[in-house]
Amino acid sequence: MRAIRLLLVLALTLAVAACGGADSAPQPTPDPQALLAEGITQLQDATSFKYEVDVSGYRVNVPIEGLDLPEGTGVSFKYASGTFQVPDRLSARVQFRLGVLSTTAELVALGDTQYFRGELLTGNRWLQGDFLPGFLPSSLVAQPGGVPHTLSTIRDLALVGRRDLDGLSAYQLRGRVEAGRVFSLTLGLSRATAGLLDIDVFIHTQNKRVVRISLVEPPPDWAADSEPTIWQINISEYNAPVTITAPDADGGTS
Amino acid sequence: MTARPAAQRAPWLVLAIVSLPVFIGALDLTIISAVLPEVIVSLDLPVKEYLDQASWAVSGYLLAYAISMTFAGRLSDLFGRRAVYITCLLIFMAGSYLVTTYDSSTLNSAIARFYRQVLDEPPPRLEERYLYLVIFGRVVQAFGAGAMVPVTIALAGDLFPPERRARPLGVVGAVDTLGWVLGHLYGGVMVRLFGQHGDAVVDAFAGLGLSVAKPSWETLFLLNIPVSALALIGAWWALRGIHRPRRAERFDVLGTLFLTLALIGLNLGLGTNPETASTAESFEDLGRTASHYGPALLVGAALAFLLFLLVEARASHPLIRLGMFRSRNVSASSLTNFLVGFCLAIGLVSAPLLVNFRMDSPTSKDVQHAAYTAGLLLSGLTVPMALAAIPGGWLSERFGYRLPTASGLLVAGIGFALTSATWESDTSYWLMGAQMAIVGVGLGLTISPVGTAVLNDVTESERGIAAALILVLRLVGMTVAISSLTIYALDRFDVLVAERMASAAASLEETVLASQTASLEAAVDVISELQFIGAAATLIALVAALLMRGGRAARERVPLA
Repeated sequence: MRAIRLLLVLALTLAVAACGGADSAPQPTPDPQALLAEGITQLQDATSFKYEVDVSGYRVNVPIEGLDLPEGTGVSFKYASGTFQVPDRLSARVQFRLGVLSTTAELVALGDTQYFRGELLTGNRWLQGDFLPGFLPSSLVAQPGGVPHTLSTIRDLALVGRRDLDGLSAYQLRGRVEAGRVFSLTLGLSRATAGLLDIDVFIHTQNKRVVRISLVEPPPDWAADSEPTIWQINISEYNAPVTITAPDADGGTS
Repeated sequence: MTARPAAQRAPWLVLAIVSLPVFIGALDLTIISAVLPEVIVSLDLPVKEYLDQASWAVSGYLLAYAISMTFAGRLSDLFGRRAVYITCLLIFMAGSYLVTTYDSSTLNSAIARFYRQVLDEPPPRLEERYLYLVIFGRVVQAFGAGAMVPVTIALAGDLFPPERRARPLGVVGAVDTLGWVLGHLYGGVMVRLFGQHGDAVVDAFAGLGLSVAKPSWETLFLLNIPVSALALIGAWWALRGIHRPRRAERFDVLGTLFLTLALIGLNLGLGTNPETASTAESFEDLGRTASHYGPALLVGAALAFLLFLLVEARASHPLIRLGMFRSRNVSASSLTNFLVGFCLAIGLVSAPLLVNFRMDSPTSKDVQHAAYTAGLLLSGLTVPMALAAIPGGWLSERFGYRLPTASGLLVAGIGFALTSATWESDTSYWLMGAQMAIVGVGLGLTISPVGTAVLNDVTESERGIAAALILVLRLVGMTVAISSLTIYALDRFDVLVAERMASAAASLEETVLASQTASLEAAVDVISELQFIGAAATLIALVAALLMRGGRAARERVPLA
């Protein structure tokens, strides 16, 4: 059935392709601070939301102590998607690169209890343990330190215009944020610790929710000619009914 | 015959020109199987997680290939071989290009837009959309590639008189078979070469002042374009004046629709893929694409087929004139070809299964070695099969359709009987390869006479659809074989393992060892039984072949429109 659906999607997609909207100027011009404040409030008050973190450009290495890998084949982060449920539940599917190969791991965190499984690491069996020491799902929206707080610290905020995000109409706000404050946005994996980073926030034109955050992180000094790392965070399905529960785990390991 | 100079003076040259894209299209049927993991890795997706989805790049191609075969022949009957052939070639080229444009922002944005605006769902991640576009490009390619095969077979009918048709049909059959036989090898070797010498290629072009990207799997599809362009120019020239279309007749849209639905339902319902089945590592793998909707899809397929028959019986210009089957040659050849497909599927899955069951351990080294051995053994079946299609044509011209078909089936039957009687868990690969070659030669000998018998017994305006019938029935035979035999094999395997384990030792270590031995012995028995079924099926096919009219084609009255 997946094939039929796929072919239908692709065939109809071509028909829909012609309906793409062009960028247009905002009318009337909304206040960027007010837009951002509304977006932050909706994120802060959400009972649940889905998120995607996608990295492109210069690779984001994941430091793993004690893992002896050949030079140039480090573990790097590529993509994560998951669901957050207030007050402190989170499920995530994370894709890593090991050299040129990609592998996926899953994490479920209920407060300070974590469950983890991965094809390579646990043979796809759920294990309970402290895999991200000190990580609490509630820190995603915590005040201070969480995503809403990070957004509230954006400087030099300006409205760039109205954008069409592949069928999603959004206001694009642009500003700069301190590198030390993006921990929650980048899952603690960003390299930069000082200076200001360019950030774009996209707010839905109708419901004023934050739908996308785009963060530009320069490459490290020793690779200054490389392209920057682009962090794209998509947030969707606000307040959808979700229940994140503990998977059947085999027991503690760490 | 309405052929003009090029076709009259050099029909073999014309056939060679139009057969080149058929070869490339058949090559592309299997080319991606060898490089599928490479494709997934290059799209930045986890291989294990996306292999099932990505396998639609193979299955989708096969399905579209079969579907386009069903109606392209008829289209060429109505609109002319040249117009339809060139259109198909252009579609194939467009599909090849589409595969390489998976990262087009316009197309990706369109998919995202579709999800948001029509499905009201968040779109799949970008890399997943890339994969969907690769699959879409493959399906477009296949529509062109599959359609070219019956048109080329029908062209052979236009180019050669009845008494000389068998050899060219053997050549087209051999070209098509060689294409899908060599696809795995070509894809694998080329991607390995690109990996090892890609930088040298880039440097060589840089030396000429040209900047090119490092070759990769995408290059395989880009290479199709210049080769197809040359073939396009050649076909444009060579096919001038060939086959006058009968525009007065109408194309049977409804019949085509029902037949297409029946084929899709059958393929998805049976959940098997003749192409990927040849790489199966266990009996479960054979039917691994089966879905929970299988029975419903099969009922739907049966319903669509009944509606197709109803439409065909009433249509003034049907896709397939049912009266065609009143001809003994057409009906007997159709049944024979269906059974040849059935037997071919058994040959294709037997050797890889036994090799994989004999594998010492599931380490990557052993898995790679097993894949290599299975590939060589498969070549032992398929290469002789493709090559035997050519003498099959010669024999058919000398002795008529019945004798070479029956002889081929007898040889294949002997091959299956030998494999069934002699394969054990420690049989040498040389012996297995030799016996597979016997089966291959036998099946290959039937390709040309069966095709010629059908083509020579229909009117000129039905050659296209008759050519499609020959090809589609073989594919359906393969699909039915894999599906039905998977059910049989799984049941038998469980029963045989249970019988052997009934007296297993008590300790855990002994039980594990006994289980491994029992599995291998049971697998060998089941594979032997499958080959016995293959031998039986060739005998049934032999009976069907004996119903074909004997004698040489030249002596037969060929009804021409």
